[in-house]
Formats: sequence, structure tokens, C-alpha cells
Amino acid sequence: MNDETAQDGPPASRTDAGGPSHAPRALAASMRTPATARRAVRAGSRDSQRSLAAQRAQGPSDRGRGGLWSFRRRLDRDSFPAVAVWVGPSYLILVLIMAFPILWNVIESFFSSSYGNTSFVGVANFRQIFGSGQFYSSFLLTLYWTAGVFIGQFILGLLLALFFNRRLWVSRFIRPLIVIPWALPGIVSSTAWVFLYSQGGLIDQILSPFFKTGPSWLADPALVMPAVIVAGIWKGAPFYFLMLLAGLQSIPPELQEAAKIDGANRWKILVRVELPYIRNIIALTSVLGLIWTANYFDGIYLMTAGGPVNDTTTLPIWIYNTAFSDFNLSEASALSVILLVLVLLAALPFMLRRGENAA
Amino acid sequence: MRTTIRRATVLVGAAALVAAAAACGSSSGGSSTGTTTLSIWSCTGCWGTKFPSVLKQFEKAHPNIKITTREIPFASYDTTLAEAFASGSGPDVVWINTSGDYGLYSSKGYLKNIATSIVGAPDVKPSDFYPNEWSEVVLQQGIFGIPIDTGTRALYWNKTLFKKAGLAPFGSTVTWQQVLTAAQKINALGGGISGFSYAGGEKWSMLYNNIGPLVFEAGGQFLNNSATQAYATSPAVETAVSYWDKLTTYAPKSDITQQNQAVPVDTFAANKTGMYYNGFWDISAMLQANPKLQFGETEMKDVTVDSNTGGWILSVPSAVSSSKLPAIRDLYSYVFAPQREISLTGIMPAVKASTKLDTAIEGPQYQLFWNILKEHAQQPLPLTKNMYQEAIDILNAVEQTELGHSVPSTMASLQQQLSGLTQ
Repeated sequence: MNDETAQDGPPASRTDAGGPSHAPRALAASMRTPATARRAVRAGSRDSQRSLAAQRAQGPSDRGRGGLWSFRRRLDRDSFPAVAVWVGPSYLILVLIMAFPILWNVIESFFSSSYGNTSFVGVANFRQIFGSGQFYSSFLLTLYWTAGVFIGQFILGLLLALFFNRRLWVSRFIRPLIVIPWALPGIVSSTAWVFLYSQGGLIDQILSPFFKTGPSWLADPALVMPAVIVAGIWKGAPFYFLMLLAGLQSIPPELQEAAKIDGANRWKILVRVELPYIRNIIALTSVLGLIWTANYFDGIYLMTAGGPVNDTTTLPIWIYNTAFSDFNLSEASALSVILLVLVLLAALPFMLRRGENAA
Repeated sequence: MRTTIRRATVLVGAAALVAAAAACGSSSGGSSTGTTTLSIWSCTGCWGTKFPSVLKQFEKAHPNIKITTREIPFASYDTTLAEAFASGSGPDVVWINTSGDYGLYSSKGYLKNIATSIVGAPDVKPSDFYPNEWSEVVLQQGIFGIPIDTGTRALYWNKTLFKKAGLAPFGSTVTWQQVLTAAQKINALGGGISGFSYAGGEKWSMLYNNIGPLVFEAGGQFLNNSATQAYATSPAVETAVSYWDKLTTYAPKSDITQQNQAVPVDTFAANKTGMYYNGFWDISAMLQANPKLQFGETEMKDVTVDSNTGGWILSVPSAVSSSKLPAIRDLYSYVFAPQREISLTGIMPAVKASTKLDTAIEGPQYQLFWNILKEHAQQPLPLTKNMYQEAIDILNAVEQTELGHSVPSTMASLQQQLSGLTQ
């Protein structure tokens, strides 16, 4: 079987599967002396180009047809049914668990259903949503929340990662503590923040030298969204910290040393060497963070239930209220579809960029 | 050999898939010939400890009826029911909360009108129940459940704080102005003490416990019973909302979004809150928190003392087959018999004759709550398909006035919103 596969599959596809074959050589070269680091990276780059040229010279490959096609070609006709039987159920379960609910949700959004009475209503649910003032208000609040939390988490996570990306004896004790907010269940962290923001709570006590009575953090329309954003940043920043720290620690020290020799200061090393080097990690973390933040529900709901006067009713909270307070599952499905499209649109640039980098 | 292995592999895989499909297809069944199976859903702890044994006795007395039960945690009870109702599945008999859920589920068509099929059965006659309880389940469109227990509410006042503030004790009824004056004086004590407290983030509780009863007491209503006319700009509604705004100035500002109904109870028990409004079930909680707590109860009165009642209701989902109704009728007759009804709930029952039985809440501190049952109950909102939106619009408007918007202009805008929904 292996022989047949070797004859069937062009060498190019094997190179694809194995990744850039010259990259280890470039890294090994860079390890020899710090001074040769830049040269080694350039050499790696030239090797990669040479490899690509060789692939092109060999004619059309399976590259554009995707992994499944290559996989199928590598199988002989006899073994395919057996593989299908063993692997098929896993794929089926994946489809049932992931694709089916999304598809069902999309279908449901075009129907009106109430206790066994289901009727096709076309885009009526969407028209109803777009026709209500609540949509634009919730959409803007979702943007406000997502932008605030996303930017805050990223900056705080990056600062923490840069600070702890050093050999400090205290790091090994503090790093696990930083992760605690992220590991805490939403109900615990939200309840803690409700107590912190409550009248006479810790924040009020800290601010007591400046205010006779502290502001109503969760009841004042001007303060409530910044207040929940702060809680959101606190909860999610450790994820960015972990990912970015892992990325920073993967940077070969020779690159930073080479930049230093070239006269770069700390800021330039950060923006010209370190951040570009971990750009794939930044893109991945950003995509995940963006999706999680835009869809975030429990913390806001537990702290404010969307109030006061809908001032924190983001789209996920509106979806929940529509589905489980108004019991209008069809309209909630339509809202979910809208949120899915909006999140995908927001994440698309990151995903495309990541795809380009991977290619 | 290789072909044999391949065939065996395919056969094993196919057999596994067929077995899985068969397992999915088999249903846990409802009724076999001659036997009717009834499923009952309740929230965890909602039925009395003796209720399971009552069900066993019922099965013994009715050998052709089998009962299955399921208890669902209170926190996820609404969502579980909503999912079951929306998909047309669910139980044959279900515990429903009066505050919000009964109206909402009925308006969505989730509950069966049992005005002719169940009402009138032995021990399920309107005259068997407290008028206040019975009037809560009678809606313009029909009767969608039978009251199990009561949820009467009163204003709790803290005797220790009243004494500190130099206030005279309240009687069995109290005027709005007296409450306002007391709240103001207790608030003036300082040191983190509030005159009043409430859980504004708990929407249905806010409507059914606070602003709704105030509107009744002022002699008004938000919408007429057929939901064809809105009264948001009526003097009674404006008076009630303005009064509420004044009263809540003596409450912590964070109460506007406070969802935890235990907070007013805890602060009251800790002698940090002068007054709050809720049901008799808080008495055990507050005494547990502070066994030395000195408190009293009273009814607020403007034009009347009318209130809503609350409590739980036993309903039949609309998807239940008519063929099961005779069995359900037998079940209702059995469990609503006065000597058994107390086992159904374990607390203050809705059936009049049950009151003589030994309950967990006999005692002088509960007397006012029993008295309230003889009064009139109203639903804050009539039954319409827009009931949820109407409630949200009303509560948003009230929140806006709490945040400083003018009452007349906010009520004018609410009037427009409600009128739009009633058309």
C-alpha cells in the first residue's frame, strides 16, 4: 500500500505535509553563532523560495484540492471502505454536533414555531428584528463592549506577558495567580464584581476620600458599560497573557541579540522583531478573543441582566431574553444567525491573514 | 483472507450503526394498553416531602394510572420548560409559577384551558379555594391551572430600626405617606442603613411585587382586562410611579439592577434595611440569618390594599393528549382533597379547608399572610401575546423615572408603546 501511495502522490504533496523542509536547517544555522542569525533567517527564506520553485516546476499538484483529496488518493480502492467505516462515524458525530445545530438554527430562523405549530415565514423574523429600535441599540452596545474588552484584554495581556518574559524569581509564583481570573467560573467572578461595585463595597471604600457617596456603578447608565468592561478585561486578560507569553518565549534570543547589535532599542525590538515574530499567535488569539467577547453572555447577565433600561443589553443578552423570557425561539434563532454573521465578518480579516501566513 | 477481514469490518461497522439507530429510535414509551402513564414536572423542592408517598397511594388506588416524576433545579426550571414547550414535548402535569410564568405560558398557548375538563371535578371546585388564589388563575381566555399554594406578600418593617429612628410601630395597614416618612427617617440614620430595599433586576418580581401592586393600590391598572386600552398616563399609574420613585430614593441605587432577591432579606436581617416587600417564605430565612431579629408586617394602602397573590399552580401543557384528561382529572381530585393538599405543597395551601391542618408556617407572624387571602387579587398584566414586551416596556419606563426622567413624559412615551402593542 505504501509503495502504491508513493507512486500515486507527487513529491510536492509530501513536501506540503512535512512543512518547509529547509526551516530546521535555517534554525540550526542561526544557533551556531548569534552574529549569523539574520543571515540564517535570510538563508531559510531563500531555501523556502527554492523549494517552492521546485514544486512549481513539477507541474500541477493536489495542493489546491485540499487534504481530503490527497488523503483519498493515497488510499487504495480496497482499503477505502474499511477506513470509511472506521473514520466515518467520527466525522458523522462531528457533523451532528457542530454543523447540524448551526444549520438547524438557520432553518429555524425562517420559521415561526409555537408548541407544535410551525409555519414558514420567510424573512419575517429578520424584518421584525431590523425594524425594532432595539437591534441598533444592542448592536452598538455589542460593538462598544467587544471593542472595549478586546482592546483592554490585549493591552493588559501583552503588558503582563512582556513583564513576565524575564528571568524573575518571583515569576514562577505570580504567573499561576494571574491565570486565576480566567479559570474562575463566570458566576463566581461576576458575583465578586457585583460585591465590589455595590454601595459601600471595596471600590466605594477606596474612592471614599474623593466621594461622599460612591457612584452607582451598575445602576448608572453612563457608568454601567465601562464597569462591566473592566470586569470583562479582568476575566479575559490572562488568556492573552498565556498565549502571548508562550509566543514571546518561542522567539530565538539570537534574533533579539542581532537587533540589539544593529542598534535597536527596546521599543524597536518589540515592534520590529518580537510582535512580527508572534503575529500568527496574535492573530489566533485575537480571533478567539473576538469571538468569545462578542458572544459573551454570563458575566454581563449576572451583573446587570442587561439593565438599567437595556443599557447593557448586548446581542447575546437580547437573544437569551427573546428565547427564554419571551419564549420566541424563532426570533432568537434569527438573532443568533445575525450575530454569527457579524462575528464571522469581524473575524474574517484575521482568519484570512492567518491563512495567508500559513500558506 | 484480506477480503474476509474487509467484509467483517464492514459488517461490524454496519451492525454498530444499525444498533445505534435502533437505540435512538426506541422510545421510552407512554402508555401500554389499559394503563395511562402521567409524567409530572416540578422545580426541585417545590413539592412537600410527603407528596411522593401521596402519589404512591394514588397509584395504589388507581392501578391503571402510573406516575413518573421529574424535579428540575429552580435556576434552570424556566429554560427547561421553555425548551420542552417549544418543541412540543414535556410533561402531562406541570408546576407553574404565578408571577409572570403563568400568564406568559398561557399567552403563548403552552397551557391547556382546563375550565371544563378539570374544573368542577371533586375537590377542584372554585368554592374550595381562597378567592384571592382562585381569581389569579381565572383569565379572560380561560382557566389554565389550579392553584396549589399561596404566595401572599406584605411589607416587612424592622422594629429595631424603627425604634432607633423614633418611629411609631405600623399597624396591620399603613398609608403610603407613613411608609415614605419612615423610609426617610431610617435613611437619615446613616452608617449604610437604607430606608427601603428591593431587587429591581428581577423583572417579574419587580412587576408582581412592587410596581404592579402599587398601581392596584392606587386604584388603577396598566392595561384593561381585554388589553385593548392602555392607562399609563392615568392619574392612578402616574401617582404609583411617582410614589415608587420617591420611595426608591431611600434604597441603595444599586437595587435598580439588583437581581439577587436574597440581598434585601439579608440586609433586613442585619438591621441595615428598614423595610422591604415580599412573601411569608422570607421569615424563616431572615430568622435563620438573625434569630434575634425584631420585625413586623403590614399591608400598604392607598385607595385599596389589593395586591397580587403569587404561589404555584398545577397546569396541563396544551400538547397533552385529550385521552389522558380523565386520568389527570382523577389525579387532581385526589391531590386537591383538603387532607392531601397540604402534602402537595408543604407550605401555605390554596385550598381553604387545608388551613386547619398542621403546616410549617402556623404562628402569629403568618396571620397577616392568611388574612390577605380573603382579599382581592389581580394580575398586573392581562393575557396577550405581547405580554412580555408590555412588561419590559413598563419596567424600562419605571427604571427611567428612577434614574431621574420626568414621570409625565416617560409615562406618555410608555402610553404610546403600550397603545402600539394593544392595536
